Amino acid sequence: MSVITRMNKARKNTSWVEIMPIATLVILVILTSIGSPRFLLPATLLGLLSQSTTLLVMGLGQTFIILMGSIDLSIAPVAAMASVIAAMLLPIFGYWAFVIAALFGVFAGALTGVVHTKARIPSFIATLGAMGLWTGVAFVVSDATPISVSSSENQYLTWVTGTNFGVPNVVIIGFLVLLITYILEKYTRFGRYVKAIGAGEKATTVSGVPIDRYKIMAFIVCSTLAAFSGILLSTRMSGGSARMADGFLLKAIAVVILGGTAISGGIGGVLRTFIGVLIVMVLEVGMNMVGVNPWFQQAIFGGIIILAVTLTIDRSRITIIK
Amino acid sequence: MADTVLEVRNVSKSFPGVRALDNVDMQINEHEIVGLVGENGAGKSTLLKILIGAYHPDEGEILVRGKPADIRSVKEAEDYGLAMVFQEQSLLPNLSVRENIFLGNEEQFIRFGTINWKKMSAEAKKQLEKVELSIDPSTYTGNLSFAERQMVELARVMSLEDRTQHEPLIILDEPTTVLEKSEIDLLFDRIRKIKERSSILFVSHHLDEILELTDRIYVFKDGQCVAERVTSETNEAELHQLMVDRELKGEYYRQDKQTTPSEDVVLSVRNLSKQGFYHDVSFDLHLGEILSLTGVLGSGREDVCRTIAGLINPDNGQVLVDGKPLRFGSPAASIQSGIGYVPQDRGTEGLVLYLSIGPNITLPDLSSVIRRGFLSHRAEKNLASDWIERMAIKTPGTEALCLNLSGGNQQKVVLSKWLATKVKIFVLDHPTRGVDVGAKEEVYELIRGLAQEGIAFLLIADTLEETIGLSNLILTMKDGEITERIPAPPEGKPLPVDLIQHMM
Repeated sequence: MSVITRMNKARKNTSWVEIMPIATLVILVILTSIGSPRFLLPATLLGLLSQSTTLLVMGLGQTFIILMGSIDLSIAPVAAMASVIAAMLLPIFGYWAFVIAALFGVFAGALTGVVHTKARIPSFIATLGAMGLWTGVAFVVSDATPISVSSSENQYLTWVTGTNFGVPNVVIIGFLVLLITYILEKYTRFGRYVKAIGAGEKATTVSGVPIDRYKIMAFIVCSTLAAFSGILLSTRMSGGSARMADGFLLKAIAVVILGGTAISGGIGGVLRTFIGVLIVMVLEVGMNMVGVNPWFQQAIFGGIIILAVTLTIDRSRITIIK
Repeated sequence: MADTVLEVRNVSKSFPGVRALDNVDMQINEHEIVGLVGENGAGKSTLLKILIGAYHPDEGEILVRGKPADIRSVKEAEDYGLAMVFQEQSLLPNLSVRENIFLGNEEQFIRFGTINWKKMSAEAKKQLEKVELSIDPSTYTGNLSFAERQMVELARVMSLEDRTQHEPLIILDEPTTVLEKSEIDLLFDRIRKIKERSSILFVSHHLDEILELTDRIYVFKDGQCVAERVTSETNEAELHQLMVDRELKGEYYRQDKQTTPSEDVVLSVRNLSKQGFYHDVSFDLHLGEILSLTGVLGSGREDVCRTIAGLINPDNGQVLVDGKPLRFGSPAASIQSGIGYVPQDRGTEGLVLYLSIGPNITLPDLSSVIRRGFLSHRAEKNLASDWIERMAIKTPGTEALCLNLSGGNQQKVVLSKWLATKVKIFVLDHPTRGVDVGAKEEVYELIRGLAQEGIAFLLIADTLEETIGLSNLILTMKDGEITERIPAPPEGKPLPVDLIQHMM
């Protein structure tokens, strides 16, 4: 292949992957607002955004992992476990319960990160194991029953459930996390190295970058954000449960891929994941509008992930599919 | 005269920038062992790949038993009775011997959709007898010694005899690389036996083996077949001469700019050993010196370079940089000591192709573009622009991915990366591979300029001419050991034949 055709191909690939998600979003918004004119009212949109924040926070964490060319399957149980920790400790420690729940996320991420890099186990397997581990632990710790926060402790929840200037706090929190992860991705060593590892791990190693350290850091970031989204869930639901985040894994991966971050690593970012979240949000509204069975919506997300990967993957980089 | 089994007629094959095969003719007769020799890049591999259908010739034709053969795949080659025993063994260690022998050809044993193992074992036994190997065909291949596996490979290709109803033509590509001396003798003994029912093309860098085993020898050089000799009428010295006999162009390598290096040692390698790779390697690299390691594939020279780059952990020995011992096994430690490694595999190890020029240059040392704690994209872009200008990198823009640059320009980015990191020692592994002629001269010019500034180079060159043209000192390596130290001052450059006799 000549250099010129390769160049054109590369250029076409990037623009296609960049425009597709936004075009999809615009089309979905138009279709949905035709079906339901109230959809575009600020109140409706803010309501939808506050519902989507937990998914956004989880997806932002997963973005770093997928950028690196890995995958984290343990995020939903980590979030559930964090919700259980927060709900259980809230009566004893107050606000510190949230801090402890977040620290659990740090620990869970460090654990999978170390197992993945030091024992040289594929992230897929390391996090699959962690998924089982934290699901089990969450069920045992919560005695398999939801833990509710009594109304006397509602004061500790308003930082999420309250509103400021008419905007729900949870939406503001979501945007703050988006801003922080954007800075992390664009303006820190961590963000640069995560991208470089995903785009070319060998060359990054030869350049002297301590790969394992940054991989562990990425898993810590991802798990901590998963735990944080579990905290947000627990405040919105006034309680914690081992089943709190059921179904989130599929959606959290879907938002990253739908946004246009390549599953092969190296290309993408948190802003794309934000677009992905908006797509999923509008899609859910649309599906409810036309009356798709809520249970069946899982099946649709599963199909969408495969379709999105089929459309965006650069097959020239993958020789053998395992 | 015996019947001709294989005839290669006027075969040519080009790749971008190189004519890998140029009008090659060759004949192999029944029950004959033919040797094929040539230095790295002479075109041997290209010819072998054409014979097994991995490449298709641009011109010319292949005749098998007098009939033109259009070979498009390994499978088709085998249907013609042509089979190759690969340099890296191709048997699957997790399968049994019988399964390996008939891999891809199980139809004959299948009845009602399942395999008749008894029948397969019996057939496998028959093939193993041809090479006089008495092992149970249901043994796992992974449990066999390398020599035994080599025999199983031979048995596998001998099974073609029954499939095609012809005697096979067996291609042996460096079959002795992983074998001990006694195993080699055994293998040669078996090869002489199967010669009675096959023809053999034997490719090796070991001229002593070629001279011992073959009946006739073809010598390749620069994609051409330059000589054909009857083995009993030639010797090592003549073969060496034939393989490298060509004119030298001094100007091309900027020999007028060659300097005499200073006495200061910047890198000292002492008694470095790694089991199976290299043994007791020692040398000093001086300020401003260009030192070449030269040897054939498997001589260990690449592994020595990768050890210094922090990618291989040696068993024994020391490397001193400016008198201080280097910590092994860590690219970061090597870089910290001022060593920049330009790897052979530019696309995966040299550059992150899916990043643009700036991020590639700053990869080893991001701190140069960090302002007040945060990565400054503007500083990085300016840095990229500086290097694009200094190194005359041709690119559509600073944001273009390195994927979209030509080989020569990619190599300039790799060099910029290390220059920006201020390395004092360059380890260059085939720096001009896949680089076009114009860019090659630029790379030579650059190396000379940097050497004048006192940067030291440990070089693995692409060709013997490049080795001789660029170096102050040449170390030849063979089977993991340094065999000779040959000075190469501008007024007294050695000839390729002076080098090659210490390499093979």
